[in-house]
Amino acid sequence: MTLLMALTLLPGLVIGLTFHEMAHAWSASLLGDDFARRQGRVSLNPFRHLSLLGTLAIFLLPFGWAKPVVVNLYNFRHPKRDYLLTSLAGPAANLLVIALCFGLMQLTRHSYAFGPVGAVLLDLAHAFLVLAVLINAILATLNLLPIPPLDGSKIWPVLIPGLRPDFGGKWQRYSILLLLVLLWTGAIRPLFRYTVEAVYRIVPVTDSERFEESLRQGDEAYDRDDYARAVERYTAAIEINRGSPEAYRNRACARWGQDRFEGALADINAAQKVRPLPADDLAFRADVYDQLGRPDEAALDRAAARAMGWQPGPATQTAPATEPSTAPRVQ
Amino acid sequence: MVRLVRNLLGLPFEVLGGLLGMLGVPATVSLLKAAWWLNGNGSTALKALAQLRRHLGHEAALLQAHAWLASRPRPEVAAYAGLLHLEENELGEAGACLEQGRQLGRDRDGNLELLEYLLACMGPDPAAAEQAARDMESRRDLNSTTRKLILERRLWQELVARRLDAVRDYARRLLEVSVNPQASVALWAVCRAEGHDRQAERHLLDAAMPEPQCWYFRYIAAEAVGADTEAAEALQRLREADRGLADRAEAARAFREARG
Repeated sequence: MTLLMALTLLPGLVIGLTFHEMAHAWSASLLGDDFARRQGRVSLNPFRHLSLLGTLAIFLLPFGWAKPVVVNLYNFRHPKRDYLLTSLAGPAANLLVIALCFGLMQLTRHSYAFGPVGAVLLDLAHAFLVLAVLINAILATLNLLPIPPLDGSKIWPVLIPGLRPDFGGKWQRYSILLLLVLLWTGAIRPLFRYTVEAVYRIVPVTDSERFEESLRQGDEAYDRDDYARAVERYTAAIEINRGSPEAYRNRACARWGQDRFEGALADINAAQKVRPLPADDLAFRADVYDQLGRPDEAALDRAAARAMGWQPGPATQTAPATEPSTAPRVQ
Repeated sequence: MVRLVRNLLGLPFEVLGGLLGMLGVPATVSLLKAAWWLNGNGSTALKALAQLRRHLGHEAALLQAHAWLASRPRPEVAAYAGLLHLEENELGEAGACLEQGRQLGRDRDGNLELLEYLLACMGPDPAAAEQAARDMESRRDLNSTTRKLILERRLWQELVARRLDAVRDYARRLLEVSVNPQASVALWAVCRAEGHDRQAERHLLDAAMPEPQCWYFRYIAAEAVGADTEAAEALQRLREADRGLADRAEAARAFREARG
């Protein structure tokens, strides 16, 4: 695992572990056991929960852990039932974090509504939320496995008649080794993969993802010379993000392919409103002006393009009238 | 930040010491001592003292605990030293450790309360232990050892007072957590008092305890519910197994009778 990958996973994991352990401690306190509160565990301060070894492990292995919350069952009025509820609280907290992240994603998914800088920040925030959701889903799933010291080892024996939870943790030493082996060898990875795939399917799609997809579909259609479809997909992309010169420029190319020069000119001008045209686009617009019978404007644009270092290629000398000198190319 | 660095420095020693401790290797003591020297955490000191006691004995652990109390005092260490003194029946020294521990601050592991409770139990006044159990029962932040001892004492108090529903409730709470022979003996007595002999026998099967404790608790239980034949038999067997404990059981009964 690279340092960068570990650092990417760290915030989601820290949030997930902190909420998970805090939920155990808080629910225990609600049910009559304040031992975890005494140990300072009813807190959202991550430093109260993170184990130094478990945190360092994130940088070496693809997983980490927190200090377990010690629950005193003798403080409970109904030890079996209350221990079950306390154990369930951890995975439930991870589900709550997932729900909160989904709520926040309803804001971050509309990234283009906040300008170009806002869009970058919101896309980053959205990526962070997606990671947090996936990590919390894995934490909740992993903790439901019936292997001590995971929560599942306390939950299932209470729910399944005839079984008795291992309150004393007799087998914990061996089961921890088993768990480490499962994680180390990747034997448990199919479960993680299934969880990630299932959760990822319901993660809200961001505007930037929809935009990129529309743009990609437009490019594919353009490459097939299906200009009508390309225009339609580029239009969809522009409706999502009106601040993309690339989308306008590509639609201009597709419209050129349809011989809709007025439309192509309107698109290049729209791109220019977003950012100054580069030399290639100026040369392209010069070609469009030529097609529209506006040589003076074409000459001005071509001169400006040359001033910016643009050189007409040899192909332009022999290009048919319907092909622009810059050979329109979607970007 | 300084604390984090100290914890980081102590971590390899603590992890390795913990692993060697699991394997019973004596080198664990030196490693855990080094970890405690580096990180200064009371919990690490406790681990080191426990391993020291395991490999070098009670006396060495006690000496080390007092040395640390003089140089780097922590409430956890004071509580542990007090518990070691209690094992030797040194109530005065244990009391002093309790006082020192209280002055040092809060012991997160709850061993100071355990020391406090055990001191009350082992003191000369039987009423003090009963009162301590009643007083501490309402506390919700005790560690499991202390809490279990208190629940067991309250179970016997209720049985002696013949509040059988309360006995049943305490026994249920204890048995839900783990096998508890004392709770099973108490339930045997409750069933005997209510005339459910077959059920009583079943509880007795769950009450496997080594001698002489089994006879001690059966005597108290039988005597509490007026099962005179069983009480006499249990006392007889107890006397055969441990005369001192039999005398204590009779003294406790006399104390209860005197109190009415």
